[in-house]
Amino acid sequence: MKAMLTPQQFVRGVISLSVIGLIVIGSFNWWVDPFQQYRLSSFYAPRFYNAQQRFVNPGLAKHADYTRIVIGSSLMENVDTRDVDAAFNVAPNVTSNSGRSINLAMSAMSGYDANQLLSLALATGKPTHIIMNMDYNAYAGAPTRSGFSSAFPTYLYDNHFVNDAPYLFGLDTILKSVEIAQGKRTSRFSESITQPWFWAGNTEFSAAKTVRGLDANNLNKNHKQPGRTRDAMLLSFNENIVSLVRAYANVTFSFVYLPYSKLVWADFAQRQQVDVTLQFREDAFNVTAAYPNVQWFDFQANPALVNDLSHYTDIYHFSPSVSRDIIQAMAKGEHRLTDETLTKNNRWLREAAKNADVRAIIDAAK
Amino acid sequence: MLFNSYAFILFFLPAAVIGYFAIAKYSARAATLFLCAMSCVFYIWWKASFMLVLLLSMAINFAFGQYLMARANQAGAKRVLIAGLVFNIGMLGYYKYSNFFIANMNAVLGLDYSLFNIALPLGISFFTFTQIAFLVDAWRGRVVELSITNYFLFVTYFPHLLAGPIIHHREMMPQFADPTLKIINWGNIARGLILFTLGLTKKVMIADQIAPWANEGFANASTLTFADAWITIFSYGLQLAFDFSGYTDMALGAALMMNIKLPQNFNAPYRATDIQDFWRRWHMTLSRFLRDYIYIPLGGNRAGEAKMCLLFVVTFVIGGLWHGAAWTFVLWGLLHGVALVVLHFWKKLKMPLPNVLAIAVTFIFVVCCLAVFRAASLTDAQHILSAAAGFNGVSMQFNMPAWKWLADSPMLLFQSSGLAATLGAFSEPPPPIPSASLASFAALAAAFILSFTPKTAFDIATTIAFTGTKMVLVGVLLLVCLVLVPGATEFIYFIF
Repeated sequence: MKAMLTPQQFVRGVISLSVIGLIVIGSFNWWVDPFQQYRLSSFYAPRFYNAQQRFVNPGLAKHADYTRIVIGSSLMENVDTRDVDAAFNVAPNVTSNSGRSINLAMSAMSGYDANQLLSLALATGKPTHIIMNMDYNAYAGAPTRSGFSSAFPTYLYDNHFVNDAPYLFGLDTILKSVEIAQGKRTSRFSESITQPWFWAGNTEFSAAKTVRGLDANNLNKNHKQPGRTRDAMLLSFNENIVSLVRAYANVTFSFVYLPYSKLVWADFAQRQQVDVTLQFREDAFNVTAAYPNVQWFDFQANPALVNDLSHYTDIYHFSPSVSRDIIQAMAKGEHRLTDETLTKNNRWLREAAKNADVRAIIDAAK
Repeated sequence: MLFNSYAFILFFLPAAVIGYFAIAKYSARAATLFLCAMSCVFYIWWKASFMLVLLLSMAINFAFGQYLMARANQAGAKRVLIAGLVFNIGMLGYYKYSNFFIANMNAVLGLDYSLFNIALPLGISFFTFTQIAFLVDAWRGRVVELSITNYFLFVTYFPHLLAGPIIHHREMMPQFADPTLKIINWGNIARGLILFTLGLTKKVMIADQIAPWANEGFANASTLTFADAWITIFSYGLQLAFDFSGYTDMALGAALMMNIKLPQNFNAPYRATDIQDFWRRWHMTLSRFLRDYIYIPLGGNRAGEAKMCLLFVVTFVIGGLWHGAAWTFVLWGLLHGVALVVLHFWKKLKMPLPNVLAIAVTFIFVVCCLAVFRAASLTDAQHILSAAAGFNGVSMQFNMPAWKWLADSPMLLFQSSGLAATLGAFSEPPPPIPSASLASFAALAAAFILSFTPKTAFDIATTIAFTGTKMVLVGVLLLVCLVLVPGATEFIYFIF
């Protein structure tokens, strides 16, 4: 090894070493395929890594067997697709990887994130029904804003193998592949395709837990949600969601406003976000009014869900039993939003935001 | 296109190098045109509309340059030069400074003018300064050859286009025109490959690993303790140095593979013994530009002591503003200008500091100034520097989650040594250290050590002996870097 090489030999050696290394790594990652980009896992139980939703979901969208998609932010993560199938009278499947519904929720999902994932899923021709929660914060900022703090892995949201290099050669993939090959379980993941993103297992849902650590003068302190403007929200909704509604007229889109605790409405009031939120509800409803493949559901002006903090673990997130009830109500066609109910619900929400006495609510919950 | 992307490393760069030499066998001019085309692809990869700005800038500067070349040092040429400078500064002003000007005018005069919706073309500061230097050289009669294809390549040549080095016409055109440099040179390819690999290492293994700590510190500027503030300051100072010098090494390495020698931009800047020495080692081509095209033309050392000191400050405030339209950049430039004035008078006292102390003082001053450079606002800069100065108390407590574990580190070391188990201590083990945070700590420590080691990446690449061991080392290093590429971020200087 101490003999001198010619520069040409040196260059060839360096390139050969790194290229052979890449081929070995890429082949290993392709074979294990920890995020299931090329096939659903066959020789190990599938792993749905909570911290890598934006990497795993495109694989699920491509390879899972489904006709109905449940998608949205963290509020949708606890939806069990067995409940969805039962509510919509789909016969239970016998094989674990063959559900009629699939949960493709992602924490902090933005309109852009939803567009990327739905575009991929809809292009497969599999889905006929999309159930999507309308989270106002998803439409904050530019239409291309992702809720993902790192670079959005757009290379996984297509069917081109050639741009998959970051997946095939990346350190994150290697670590997961090695973990799977060794049978280790150090990362946090679910193995259930009906509950891939479920997190509520050991979580406490109670009024006391909901108000723990809250700053009465700054309810947004823990969540750090961005401010929103009406124009930006509508632009993002139009570009990311309405474009899909228009392009896939044979697919039913059920948009649902999931309940927030009354403290969220108090937070909106503290941050002068009530008007923009209620205006967006009207705008979004109106721009989709012409599309027969759109349905709206609203559970936000529901006093039983909004005022009872025992359903929540923080001001936003409610328990899986609430998710189950909502899905059942939607399947029965209850809580549909119409021109009349929209006006009535908006009026109720405005009052709820205005009248919320934050200190009294927190004290009562403690 | 990012240097630290698979598209560049695995496809673009090999295609550019192989294509260039393959075409050059048949036609030197075609090879130059090929590189021009590749440079356009490299630039358009970001946003095609930016190409129009670049083309417009090149076309007008080429026309000015031709005129000035033909009438160098003649009466009337100066007016044309001024027109050319006004065009370049105007374009830079429009894209980079107009919103800053409007926002400040609104704030000071209580007006409510809307800001322009302007996207900053990538690399505009670099290609504008490059062409300003070209016009001044043409006016001074220092430009002897002006072929349109070589000029196009001089401005757009992809290794330097987005973030420098800021090159001189006279150091590049002879290389583009030299037919002997269009023949494959394996020595240059090997050294270029090593330099490129070392630059990539600096970026993905060091700068990108430190970045989360720097980001966390600056995002929480108002709540930093004394210890937090210093970790934040050191993190950014080292992140920027390795990010920018890593980029430069990759640029120099990529160019060297094509037998083109770009000027050095860094030479172990944190080993500088005073602020003047620092600017001879840090962003050397910007310093050269500021000296040759601003400081000296305005009078320089010949202007008398008072004016010279004023010129130090003016030149560095311009240097600060070149980085971006923000008061933080102005203050950063001002601090460096004032530091040069202080140094000027200090030198008169003939009381040189011991070398180690001089290096330490310069390093601390530079990284503190970089905190101003990086801060989102002057208020944030004030928060960080106040905390670092101990104005909020000298607490060794860590508040930031990213490095809070440092407080437990002696206990962790004690435990990992096995002594804790032997002695039966600590029934409650401390929480494990997040691996990403450990990587940040390791990268910060490595950056600190490497900043003060004698050999730079450029020295290593230019003096290395091609042995089998080193081949394996470079190959493994390149492979590790390639594995880390998906987590890589944009180079910091791309926004300038």
